[in-house]
Amino acid sequence: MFKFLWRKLRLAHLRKKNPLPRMYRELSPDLEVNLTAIRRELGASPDLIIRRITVGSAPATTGALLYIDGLIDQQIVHRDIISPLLNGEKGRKGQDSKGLLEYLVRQVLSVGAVKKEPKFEPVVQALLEGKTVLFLDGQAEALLLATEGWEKRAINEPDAERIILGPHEGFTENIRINTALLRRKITNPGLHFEEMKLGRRTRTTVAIAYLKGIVNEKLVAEVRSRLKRVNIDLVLDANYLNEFISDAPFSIFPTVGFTERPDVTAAKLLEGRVAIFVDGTPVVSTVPVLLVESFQSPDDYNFPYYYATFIRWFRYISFVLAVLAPALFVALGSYHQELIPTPLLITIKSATEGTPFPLVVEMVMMGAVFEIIREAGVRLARPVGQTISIVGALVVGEAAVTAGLVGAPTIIVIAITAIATFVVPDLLGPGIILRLFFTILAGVFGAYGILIGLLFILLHLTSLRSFGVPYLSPLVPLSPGDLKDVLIRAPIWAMRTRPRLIGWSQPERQPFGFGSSGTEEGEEGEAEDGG
Amino acid sequence: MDQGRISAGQLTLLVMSFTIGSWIVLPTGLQSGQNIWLIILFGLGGGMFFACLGLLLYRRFPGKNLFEIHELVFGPVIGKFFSLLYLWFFLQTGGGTLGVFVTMLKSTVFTATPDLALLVPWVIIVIYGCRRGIEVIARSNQPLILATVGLILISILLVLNIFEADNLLPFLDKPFSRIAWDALGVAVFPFGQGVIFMMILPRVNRQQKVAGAVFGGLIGAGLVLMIIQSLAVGVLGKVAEVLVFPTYEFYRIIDIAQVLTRLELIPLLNFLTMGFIKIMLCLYALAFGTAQLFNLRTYRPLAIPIGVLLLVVARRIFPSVSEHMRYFEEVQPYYGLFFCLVLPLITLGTALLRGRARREMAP
Repeated sequence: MFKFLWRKLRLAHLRKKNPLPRMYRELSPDLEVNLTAIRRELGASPDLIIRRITVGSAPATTGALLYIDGLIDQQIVHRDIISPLLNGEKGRKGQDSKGLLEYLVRQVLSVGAVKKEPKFEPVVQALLEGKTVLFLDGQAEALLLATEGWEKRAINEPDAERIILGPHEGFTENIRINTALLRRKITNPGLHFEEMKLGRRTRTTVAIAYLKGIVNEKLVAEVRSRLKRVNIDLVLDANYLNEFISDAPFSIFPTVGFTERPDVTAAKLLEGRVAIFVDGTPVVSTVPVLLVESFQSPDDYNFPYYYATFIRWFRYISFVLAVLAPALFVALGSYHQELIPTPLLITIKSATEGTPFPLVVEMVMMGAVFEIIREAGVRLARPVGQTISIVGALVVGEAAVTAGLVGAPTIIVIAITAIATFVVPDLLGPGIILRLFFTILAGVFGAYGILIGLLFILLHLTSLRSFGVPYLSPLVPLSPGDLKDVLIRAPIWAMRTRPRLIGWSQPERQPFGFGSSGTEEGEEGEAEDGG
Repeated sequence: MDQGRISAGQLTLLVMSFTIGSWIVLPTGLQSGQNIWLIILFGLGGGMFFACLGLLLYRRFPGKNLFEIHELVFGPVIGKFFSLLYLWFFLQTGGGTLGVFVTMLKSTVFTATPDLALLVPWVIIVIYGCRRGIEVIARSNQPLILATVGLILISILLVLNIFEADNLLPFLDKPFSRIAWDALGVAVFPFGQGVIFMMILPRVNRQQKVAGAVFGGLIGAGLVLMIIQSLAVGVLGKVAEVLVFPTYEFYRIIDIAQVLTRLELIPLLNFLTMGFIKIMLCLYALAFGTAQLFNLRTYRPLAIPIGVLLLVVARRIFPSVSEHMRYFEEVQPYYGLFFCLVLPLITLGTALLRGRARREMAP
């Protein structure tokens, strides 16, 4: 049914092609006409600054500089535009008005990027993007001067993806800084960016990044075409686009990956993926994404491989716990008591003696309480948030048990589950929903319900694809070579190939063996590989 | 129609799961006692023979599934009649598996649960999987069969302390007719039911590997069944002959240091997952075949009504375990032979005759 609904929605969405650009109006040679038109377009916004100037002495030409206050760097405008225009201009003699703009660009203005624009709408757009516009009387062209400069957040470590070792920088809200951060990681001419404006009204800059030579060109074309089809009036965050370009928009599993870390983005690009930058958000989307990626942390690669493998397995176990622990407890406690060893059963039974609700109700209730505490903790100011968690976790939990409303084992299970949920932050949403789903199934059908739920999730996951790549790969369908970064985190020198289904156009990451240094170790390594 | 493709390896695993299917907990031929492994071996031989027949037929019409072959060989009318017969066979196989499934659950864990409460959610996920197409069925089968084989291999370690090799002796103490009859039963069910794969063979992406994949799957399934049944007989001894679910019962005896006890969830899990794949394949073949029979554009909408039909059949087909057992003992060999030997032979024979006739007329 969802599929049907989705197809209808998608068709309706596809039918509306992007509207053709409006017929652009020409600029007038008359300065006053242009200024009036701009004022009419932008309304009486006080942040529009119109600075009238006179250029040259004989013949003197009147003109006007326009910019939006706050979007420009005052220093650049003063030092590099206004000051040379007013002062350095005296020496000019006998210039005809035709060559004036060309002369200004070549010899007077000392800003970096300058563009001539004969049309009206691009001028307004440039103004809104933080450029300074220079109109001269008698010229039907305007000069667009790059003077963008506004307050930015410093580069911080992203809160959602903290690591212990390794680079601590994260993306910011500025797309130019973000692309630069990526360039700092990958100093390679193959790193290409393609920019486009999305959002009919917000005109947000969106950039596709990929490594030419490694990425599959078809994937880039697919990303490009999916983005081009997006016809939405505002884009404020990467997720605005993700929901449009996702393969399975009704699935609870993310089929578009996201990260706030340049190092993660660089690693994904080097595996042959494509990254999508959106201006105004530190979140960068990467496609295609696999389920196993959610379990990989940058720390895995910054720590020795044996420890990373060990920790990764704990991440898998945590996720299974987070999803299944309450359900298993409910199933065992209310349907299959015979499967619990007797001493343990007696302990549990004595602890839940006299509680008024069935286990499943207790579990769902306490789960809900926990979600409320978590949500409140996220929304509130940080110091208050901690108070909330203490009050919530300690007081409510303790009081509920003492009052005999809820059994102590329930609180323990909820607490373990709650902590385990945060081990895999990428799957926080799916984890919470699945937990509720399984708990209710277990409450209704016991272990049989859990099995049904598992089979359903298995079918669902195997039917998912992210940009053509099966979501469960390399596990299903099995590609044994790629298990080196799934079941274990193989030593870096042993990860010789890119993921089979993603980066297969250029599979080799490093030469077999230990390189060409010709040391004894190197030869040993090669001998091992040969045998 | 479904355009999905599966690999030869996935076909092997599908054949394995389908064959292990419901037989893993409700084996036939138990009267032969400790000779069960030999019976499975003979049954495997018979199954391979049936598979040879099917593959020979498929080799004459590569890229065509069973129903298309029928129409090519017999013409549209008689061909459709043959296809209808097979539709019934698929329905009966799927319904039977679903029936065993309910019987098993009701007599072991869910003694007080009504049939429908067990059947309805199960049929819902089977329909869901069927509508996703053969690709999804084949892929979701991979982890399930791996888990099953893994659990069975682990079981070997678990029963080491209670396994008595003497229980597997004496060898061939039963009359040969008894063994032959039981072997025939095993050849027909589960191995012979693999005729359903005639509907799926054209979906394999590398056609030259089809035969190997089918035989590999049959042999793999035979080995798994032999291991599990030998374990059951080895642990239970003579008792195995009178129990309904010996493979389930022997896990109950396992007790390792009072920590690993009550492991009957293992066979239950194996049975449920393998049966799940088997029922899903049956439903897929049914829906796909019906759509083909009536020249429909897609089989997906059919999955729901046919799934409900499967549910009804499952409730009606086996009123009790004992009747079920009797059916397998006395009826199934004849009945199954008709579908995995007689009908394919007729089709193959007709195809050969017509082919020869055409060749003689051509020059």
